[in-house]
Amino acid sequence: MSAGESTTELLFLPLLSPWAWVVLVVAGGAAVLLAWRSGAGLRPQRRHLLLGLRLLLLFVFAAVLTGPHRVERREHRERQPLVILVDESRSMGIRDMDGASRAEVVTGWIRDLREAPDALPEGVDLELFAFSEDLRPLAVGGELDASGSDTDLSSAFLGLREKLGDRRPAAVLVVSDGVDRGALGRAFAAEGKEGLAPFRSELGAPVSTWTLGATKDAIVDLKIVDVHAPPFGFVRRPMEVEVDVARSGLPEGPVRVQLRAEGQLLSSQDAFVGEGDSDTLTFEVRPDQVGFHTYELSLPIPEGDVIESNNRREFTVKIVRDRTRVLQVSSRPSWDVKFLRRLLKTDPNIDLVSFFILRTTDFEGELARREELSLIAFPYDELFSQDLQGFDLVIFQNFWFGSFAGFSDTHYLQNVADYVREGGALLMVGGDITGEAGYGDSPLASVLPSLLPRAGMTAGEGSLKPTEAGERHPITRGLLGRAGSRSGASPGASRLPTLGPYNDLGAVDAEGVSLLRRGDTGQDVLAVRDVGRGRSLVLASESSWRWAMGSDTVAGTDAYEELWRSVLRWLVRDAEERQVQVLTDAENYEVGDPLSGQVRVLQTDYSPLADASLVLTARSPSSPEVLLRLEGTTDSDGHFEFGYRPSEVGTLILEAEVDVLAESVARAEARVSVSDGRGELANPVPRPDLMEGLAAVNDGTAFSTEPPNLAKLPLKRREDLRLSSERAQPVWNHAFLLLLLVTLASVEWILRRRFGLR
Amino acid sequence: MTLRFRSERRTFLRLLGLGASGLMAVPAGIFGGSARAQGERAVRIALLDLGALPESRVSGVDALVQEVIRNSSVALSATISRVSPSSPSLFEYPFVILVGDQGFPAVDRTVVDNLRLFLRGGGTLLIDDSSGLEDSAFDRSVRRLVARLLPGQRMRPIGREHALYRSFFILRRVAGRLVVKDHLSGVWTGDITPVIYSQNDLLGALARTRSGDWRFDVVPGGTRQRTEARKLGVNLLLFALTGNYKLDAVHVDTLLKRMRRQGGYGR
Repeated sequence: MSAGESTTELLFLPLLSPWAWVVLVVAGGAAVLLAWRSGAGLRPQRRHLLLGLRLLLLFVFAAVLTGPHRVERREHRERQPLVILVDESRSMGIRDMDGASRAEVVTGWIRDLREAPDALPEGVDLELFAFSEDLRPLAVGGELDASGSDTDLSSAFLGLREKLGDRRPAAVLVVSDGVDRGALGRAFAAEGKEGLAPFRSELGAPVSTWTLGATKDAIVDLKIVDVHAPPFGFVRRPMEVEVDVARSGLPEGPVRVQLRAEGQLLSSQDAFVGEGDSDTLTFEVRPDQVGFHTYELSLPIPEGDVIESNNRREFTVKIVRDRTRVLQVSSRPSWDVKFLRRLLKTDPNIDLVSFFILRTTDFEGELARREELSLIAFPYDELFSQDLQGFDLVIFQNFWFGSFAGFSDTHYLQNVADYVREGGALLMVGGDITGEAGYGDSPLASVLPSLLPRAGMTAGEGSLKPTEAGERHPITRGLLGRAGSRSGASPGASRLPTLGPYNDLGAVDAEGVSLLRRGDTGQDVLAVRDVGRGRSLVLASESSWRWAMGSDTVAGTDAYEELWRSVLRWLVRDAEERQVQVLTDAENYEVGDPLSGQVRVLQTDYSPLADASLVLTARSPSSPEVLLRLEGTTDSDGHFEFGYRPSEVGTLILEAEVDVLAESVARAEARVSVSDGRGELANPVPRPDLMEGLAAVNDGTAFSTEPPNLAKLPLKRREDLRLSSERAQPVWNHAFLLLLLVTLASVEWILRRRFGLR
Repeated sequence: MTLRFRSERRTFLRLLGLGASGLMAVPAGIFGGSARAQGERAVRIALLDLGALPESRVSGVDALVQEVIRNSSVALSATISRVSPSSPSLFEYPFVILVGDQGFPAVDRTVVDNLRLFLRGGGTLLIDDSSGLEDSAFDRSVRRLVARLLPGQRMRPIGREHALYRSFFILRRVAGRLVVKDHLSGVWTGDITPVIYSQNDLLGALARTRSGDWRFDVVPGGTRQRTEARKLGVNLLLFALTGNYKLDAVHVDTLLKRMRRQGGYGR
């Protein structure tokens, strides 16, 4: 601190309030008037003397009451700070400075400053601050972690003004790569250097800049620029995903791009992208189940790649079910075919393609010529070779290829078997032709729940009995509940509707599950199987239509619809059955984006469940660490709203657990992916032009290659003084003034006595 | 198209020919064997017995069954049952025929309820007026019954665009033993036609004597008219079995093309 200068002032701090002063003035005037009138008989000289004394007394008294203080001030000329603002955002971690990161170069330079204090200009003190989203003091020699998500210079200047208070820096040096994504960066992007005029610093000091980082051409970076995935896809429908790949600083050549799901490689393609250019590849995926599917696109990491994190990108797509596409084929019309088709046709969510074989070749020919027949060619090759994968469900209802074509059906049956393994669903309904087909010896045997030997129908009807699995299985438990409720008995204990005649299902496969058996013979009637990613079901009867007609008093008129809708839902894995659902406003977010979500809770009858306690957690699939835990209850609509702001790149599992529901249905989860595609690393090329513009508008100097010489920075010295101390001493209570008052009063009193007054 | 044949080249050529002409057929011997011979056939139909059934038309139903068996793949039972409209057995026969030439008394409430449940459950009622009169007593009884079965649903002519005119044969005219009306009538519930009414004595055109001769002459069209009546009979039963299948089939190409356009096309 420089030598100080002192000043002294007299300051009046009144001892009385304004009202007291009014009273005092009135009283003083009265006192003067009384003094004048009481001396009416005196000689004029004496009368004037007494009046003068009275006035002097009052004046001194009033002067005391004004509260005079003696103020002593000391001022000095202070040393100014030289502020260095250092960028610690993620782009500073890029290693494009001869193998060192931008942050490491700055750290080394600051360390050198500590060891060479003479490098500073005369009369300034060095103050360091690190900035990204926030501003924080940085110790000289402190490390930069280059972890901030954004560079925001305008916010940094506002923060600096707050930190400095009324101190004024001699100079400010901004050390950054200039990858500013805040207001300043946007203004520069829009209007160039002219756009920076409003960003002249209010600190009153020159702002110089030092730009770090290699030029664009020198940055080695292979990266995924963007991924364009649909917000949702449809199960078993192809879904296109576009990925933009770019590179810089690398020799030309193909770049292998890989697409994975759950760690499994789905597809790979080569991108051909020139230097500084980008290429777009299109991948096609065909999700086979509803739900959240997380995919990963990845690029190889070439030597010297300065940003490895942008070589992979995760994204999540919610897969839902479109209209369910059903192919129903039958070798002959029957009531069973009619009623199943009727049910399927009444469902607005089903696209049904039916093909029935209507006639025989032993056509007697007397009724009409062939051109008078209204028959349609069965496009078996199209359906079972080309279009098969487009269907969610294939129904063989008393159907056999051999019933209409004398060629081998092995090829088509193999296609159907492959279709099931790859996620399709096969429903086989019995009948005489089903028995004749001998599917147990065909390629279909590998996906059917039972062997289905070649055998005729067994005549007669029989009551049904659930197996142990059948009592719990979603296909049959509703039917059992219905039977129980109609008879008043417990579910499963009551009589089920009858069926018959029956096919012989044969032995149920080890991977198959029997759900219903004949009550009399114990033969399996309905069996299911999960095979590969698909499902199959066989019903060994073609008489369930009788339930639809209401001829079975146990079944009632709803049992038919209930059974078949359960069958369809199970076969195509309908997700709408879930009682707890976690919904988010999107499936893909950028770091820092707000995520809004909702947990929906339904009762077993699918009405909203209000006031249900639940716990919502968020975690990464690769770590048990819980990133978010919320507890709450559902509102009257069975909803619980939540929000979250993900801060890490990767996939999040949002899981809700509802206390009051049965364990098997109490949990649900959603997945979202968080990426940094729009973040600072999306385009980390240094922007020396922005830094030059910032220096120019603030009367500073721009440095871009070598570290700046601080001694040569433009400075603005302050000439004004700063107050270092101030003392105020009261004068009104000095003894002299008291003595003066007493003396004046005494002299007046004595003279009045001498002049013959009282 | 890749096909692996186990039969001879002739089969392949026949399939191609059938495909080109819009036909698909079941080779002889495949249905004609054990499956059909096992007695219990899946599809049974019945005559609705309201007490005034003309026995002469029962053979017409038998003939209808034989026409269907000869021409189509339907495993139709040759046994024609008679079922009371008040019986639970009614629900075992999704296709019942009411034929008559005389009026019948109003049925009681139980019958109406049963028949209504039958129709709404998916059953089809074919009514054939064999009187040969436009305004017969049977016709009046039928219209009174139908009005009670499906209140609010009016019986109206069935247009040429209806699926029953192409459920098996492509029909251009409606015929029976007579041509009292040049159209069939029906009652709709939604897009389903559960009641179909012929006033042309359809079963009379099909009826045969024990010796196999035609029981009645067909006027005015003779053999050609009888052939049309036989084809109509086959179409009616196939319609009951397949509903609007043939109309939907027209849209299958569109549906498949849409699937391919949306990507549901295996590559």
